[in-house]
Amino acid sequence: MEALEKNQIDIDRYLMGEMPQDEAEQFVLRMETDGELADQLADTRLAIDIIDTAEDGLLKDRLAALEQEEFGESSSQSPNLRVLVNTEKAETKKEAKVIQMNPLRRYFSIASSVLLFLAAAWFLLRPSSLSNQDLFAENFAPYTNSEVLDRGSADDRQTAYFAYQSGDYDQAYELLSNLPQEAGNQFFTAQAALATDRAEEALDLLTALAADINFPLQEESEWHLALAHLQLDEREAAQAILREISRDNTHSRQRDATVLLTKF
Amino acid sequence: MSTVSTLDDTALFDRIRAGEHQLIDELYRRHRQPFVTYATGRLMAIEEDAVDCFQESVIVFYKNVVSGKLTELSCSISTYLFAIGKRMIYKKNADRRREAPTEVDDDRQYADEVDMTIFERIDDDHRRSQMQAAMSKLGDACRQILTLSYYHRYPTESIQTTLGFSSPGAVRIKKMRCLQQLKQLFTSE
Repeated sequence: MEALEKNQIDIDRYLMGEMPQDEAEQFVLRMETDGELADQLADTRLAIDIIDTAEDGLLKDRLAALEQEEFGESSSQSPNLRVLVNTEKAETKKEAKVIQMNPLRRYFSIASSVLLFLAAAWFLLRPSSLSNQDLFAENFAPYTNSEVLDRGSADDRQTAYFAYQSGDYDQAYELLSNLPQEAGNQFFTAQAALATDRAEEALDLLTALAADINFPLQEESEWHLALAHLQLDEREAAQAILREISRDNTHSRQRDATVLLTKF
Repeated sequence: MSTVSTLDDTALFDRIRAGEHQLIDELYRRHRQPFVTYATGRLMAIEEDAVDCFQESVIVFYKNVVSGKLTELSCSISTYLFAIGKRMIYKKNADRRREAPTEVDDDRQYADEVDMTIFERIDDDHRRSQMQAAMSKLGDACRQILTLSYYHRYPTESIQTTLGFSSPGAVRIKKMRCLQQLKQLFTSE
């Protein structure tokens, strides 16, 4: 039992990330020869999985109950209402009639479709003449800050974010720059900087944020970093970042990056 | 003292972190509508998905807080929730596009058209319900000790004090027995 207890202590430290790197490496090596230890680790992993799943389930149930209680009416249609809506759609479908087209109108219709197709093809395939600034303007939108703010507050943070939400990016930039240098504040400072042609300033901030994988807006920072390079006419640097993003299937900006790359 | 509804982000975060888990309800109430409006309006999500993703992002946030992965707020709670929720919406939208019914020729090989992730998801759901069933059969004492230890990451000494064990060693032995019991319950499901 003592050996098992000692193993369990090590396993817990290993799984919780509390083991120093070199000790963890030794631990992994030990597992290759100690089948009992490997089994015990697998059992603990399974247990953690079960506990996580059960606790997540409880929390999900709690939130679902809260949702039903407080937002029930607006959040979802009742099954009966859904049936009603579907029935109405079905009824509408039943009444639809097929009207035969006059042959002459049909020829005109085909001809106009061909013309429309040719025009669309020309529009899509023509060489791009968009400048870096055009591409920046086409793709940049300050990131939405959805925080609920107190309009009359004298608090510096509230005032800065209120200016941001109101679209007064010049003032927001000044005020946000004076807030504590936390990642969230830096991100919105960079947004305000991009909105007011201060790409150099944005670039410095976004470079650090894009490298911080623990920052929840890291992917947004990468995308805006590419846009900052565009604003600075550094097209190659922008393209390199966009290529990285477009290769990453889980990146939230993959689609935007892929579309933008086609416009260069 | 400030009422719950006037707590600012830092205070709310600190109190959830200190163990006032019920405040997650306040966090949900505060940010739910702006997220759903944003997700349905800007991200083209259907309302059901928007609500679901928001709930999932609250769970991720809560887990990161209680597990100690998130020790301080580097941005507002709303920014955090929106960032997580947005990624989930992108994934949901992509899944829905994959699942959208298409008109297929009768002669075509239906098996080629099947999205295998649906089966993986059914497997996942089955495994998840097995896990939940095993956990629900575990006694209260075991459930508490394992949850405090692995979900809330309490140190052994804190579990000893919270659950009234005689020594840290007693907590460790009980925990090992509970782990074994949980595994047996799961495999018998």
